[in-house]
Amino acid sequence: MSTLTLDGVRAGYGRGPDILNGISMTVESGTTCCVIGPNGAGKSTILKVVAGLVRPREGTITLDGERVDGRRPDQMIGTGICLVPQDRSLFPEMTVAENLRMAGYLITDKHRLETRLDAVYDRFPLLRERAHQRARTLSGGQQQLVALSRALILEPRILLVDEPSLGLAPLVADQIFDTLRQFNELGMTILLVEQNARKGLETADVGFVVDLGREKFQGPADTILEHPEIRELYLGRRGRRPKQGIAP
Amino acid sequence: MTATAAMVERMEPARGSSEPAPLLQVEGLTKAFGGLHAVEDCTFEVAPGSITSLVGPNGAGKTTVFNLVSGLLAPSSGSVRFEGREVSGLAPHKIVRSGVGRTFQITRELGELTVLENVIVNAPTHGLRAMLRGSVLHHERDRALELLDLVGLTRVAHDLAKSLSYGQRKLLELAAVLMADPRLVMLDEPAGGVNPRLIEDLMDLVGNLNRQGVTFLVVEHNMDVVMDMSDSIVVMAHGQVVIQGTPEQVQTNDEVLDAYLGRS
Repeated sequence: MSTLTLDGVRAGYGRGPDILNGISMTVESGTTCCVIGPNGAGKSTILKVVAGLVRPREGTITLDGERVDGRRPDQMIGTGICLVPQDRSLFPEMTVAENLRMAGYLITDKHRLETRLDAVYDRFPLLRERAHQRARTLSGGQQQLVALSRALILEPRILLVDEPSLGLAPLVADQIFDTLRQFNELGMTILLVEQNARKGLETADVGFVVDLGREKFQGPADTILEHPEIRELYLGRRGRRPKQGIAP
Repeated sequence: MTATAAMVERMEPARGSSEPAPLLQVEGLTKAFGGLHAVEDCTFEVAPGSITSLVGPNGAGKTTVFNLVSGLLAPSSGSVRFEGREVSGLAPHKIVRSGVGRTFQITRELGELTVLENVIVNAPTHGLRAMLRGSVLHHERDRALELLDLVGLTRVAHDLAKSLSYGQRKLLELAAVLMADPRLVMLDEPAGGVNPRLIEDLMDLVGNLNRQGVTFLVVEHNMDVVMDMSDSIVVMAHGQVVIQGTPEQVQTNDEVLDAYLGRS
């Protein structure tokens, strides 16, 4: 179990503006933290910066007190930080088994890899059944399960999950959130970004609200939506410039 | 007479009546991609002279509605009436000719043409053909220059469009759309990826054009911008319309908040 800390992280893409404007947050060991906020708030960028896909322009990222910012994405994986991206990034023409094995490319001990594959198949018998099916022929929910299982193979210290329910039917999304709960029970620390704030927070211990690349507030996941600023955050400020228009 | 003055003149009759007929009327609009209903039984109106916004969480179906109204997609069922005429199923260029212009989330300028040429190709009559012959009509060229002046791009009129910044491309797109003389302008995320100062400029521009009679239908995620400029807001979630109302009605509606926060 590991604790992830971001301190004053500023980051953006290319020569573009800062998307993160000094984010500081701590994801305590063994907890699940769900980041919520309106579109464009910088939620996914938080995950990308932790995964090493975007380098911080300023600030530090530490895992159990050890500085990890500035490392390449593959080094981050070696450190035990694993991202399940929004698009799932499976190899569509490869089978389920091949996708899972690809995830374990850093595991040099063959016996260890086989043991972990078996553990994944035992946990998700569906994947054993579909082991030789091409990833692109799976349903959205099944693909998401493969993506999460690839992370499981690596037994990460920190699991980063970007919008796991995107494009999934509600019941399928529920199964994916159940899976995340199982992962958390295994001892994984999870940082989750989810557009369906209610569902994401149900899975989490802590809710972290961002807007315009900054922390707005944070609190216990089960009560954070009662915060008085939530409505304004999602539905805009009220009572600004009154407009004389022709409302239908 | 300036281009915008012409628009005002056209708008007068509608403004005079107490309950103007809707400029755009979308009824029971449905689009299925295989088993997935991206848009389902959507009904809403755009009043003439209004700024109407279309909002909703990611994947709500807003851009699909835009594509259906502008003819890039054909609806599975339902109707789209513009000025009382059925336009659903018409080819995109015919919809443009009938008076509906639109911009795109990711701008689509012709990079190897100049900024001015990008505007001229959208002229309603000769446009591209005249340009290829090298015989652009004087009044079309003047009109294009006037529109570039309006959006503040006069200084770069003869630069290649590909040299523009992202924000400038958004302005160019608006000028190009106006060149076709639309009565309804559909903007797809005008404030997306644009710096705060330019958002203000863009919104001022939209406000000015609107006061001169241009009707807008806008998809936008920046809710402060939406609440600030809209007369009417259509909220969509899961392909359906949750509510159409004033900013005040939308902000105080619990179903709208549920749409944004998701269902547990």
